[in-house]
Amino acid sequence: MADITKIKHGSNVYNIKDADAARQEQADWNTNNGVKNMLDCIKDGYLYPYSNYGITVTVDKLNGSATFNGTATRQLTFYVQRGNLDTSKSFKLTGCPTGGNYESGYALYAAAGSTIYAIDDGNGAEFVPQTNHTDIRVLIRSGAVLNNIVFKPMLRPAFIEDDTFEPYAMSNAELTAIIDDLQARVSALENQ
Amino acid sequence: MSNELIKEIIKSHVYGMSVVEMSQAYGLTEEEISSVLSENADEIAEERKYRAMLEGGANE
Repeated sequence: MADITKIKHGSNVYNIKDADAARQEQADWNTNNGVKNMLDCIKDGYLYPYSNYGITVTVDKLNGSATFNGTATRQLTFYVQRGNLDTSKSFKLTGCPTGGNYESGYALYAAAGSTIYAIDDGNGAEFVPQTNHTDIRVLIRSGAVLNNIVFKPMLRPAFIEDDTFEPYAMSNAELTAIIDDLQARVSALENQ
Repeated sequence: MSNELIKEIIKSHVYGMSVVEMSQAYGLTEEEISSVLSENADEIAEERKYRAMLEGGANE
C-alpha cells in the first residue's frame, strides 16, 4: 500500500507536511537558477594549473575538475570559488575523492574567513552558511601524498539528493539574458 | 614577485576581485595570481580578519 504521509516530487520523496515548502523551493530553483552545480570553476573560478612545493595541479577547464599529484612540502590552500550563498538555505558540498583527511591529507571545505562550515573528505557535507561570502577551498596538508587525486567540486542545494557530478552551467535566466543581449546587438548591426 | 605586490594581491582578493580582474590589474598571468592565493592562505585569513574587524564582523 502506498505511504499516504509522503509525496513524490521529481526524484525526491517528501513528507506531506513539508511538500508545500519543498515545491516552493523547487519552483524557486527552477525559476531563478536551474543549475545543479553552483560552483563556476570554469569561467570565473580560482583553480588554475599549479606546480610548486611538490604539488602539480592540472585543471580540466571543460568540466571544472582538478587533478593533484605529488608530495606536498608545505600546506597549500587552493581556492575553488567564492559564492554569494543564501544564508537561509542548506547546501551540500561534494567533490573530494574518497580517502581524504582534513587533519593530515587533503579535503574540500567551505569556509568564511577562518570559520569552517563543512568539510568534505570524500563523504560529502551539508551546511547552512552563516555569511553570504563563502569560499570553497581545497586543502593539502604538508606531507600529504597525492597520486592522481581528482577533485570534482560541486555545491548544490541540499534538496537535490543526486550527488552525481555535473559541471557548472549558466542558469536559464543568465542564458536568456545573453541571448536577449546578442539579439539586440544583431538588430543594431542590421539597422546600421 | 615583491612582497608588496603579494600583499596587494591578497588585499584585492579579500575585497572581492576575481583572478581575471587581478590578472589584468597587476599584469600577471591568472596562474601566477592563483599561485599567490594558494601559497598565502594564512595571510589571506589575517587580512579577512582585519577587514571583518573594520566592518563589524560582516565577513568573518
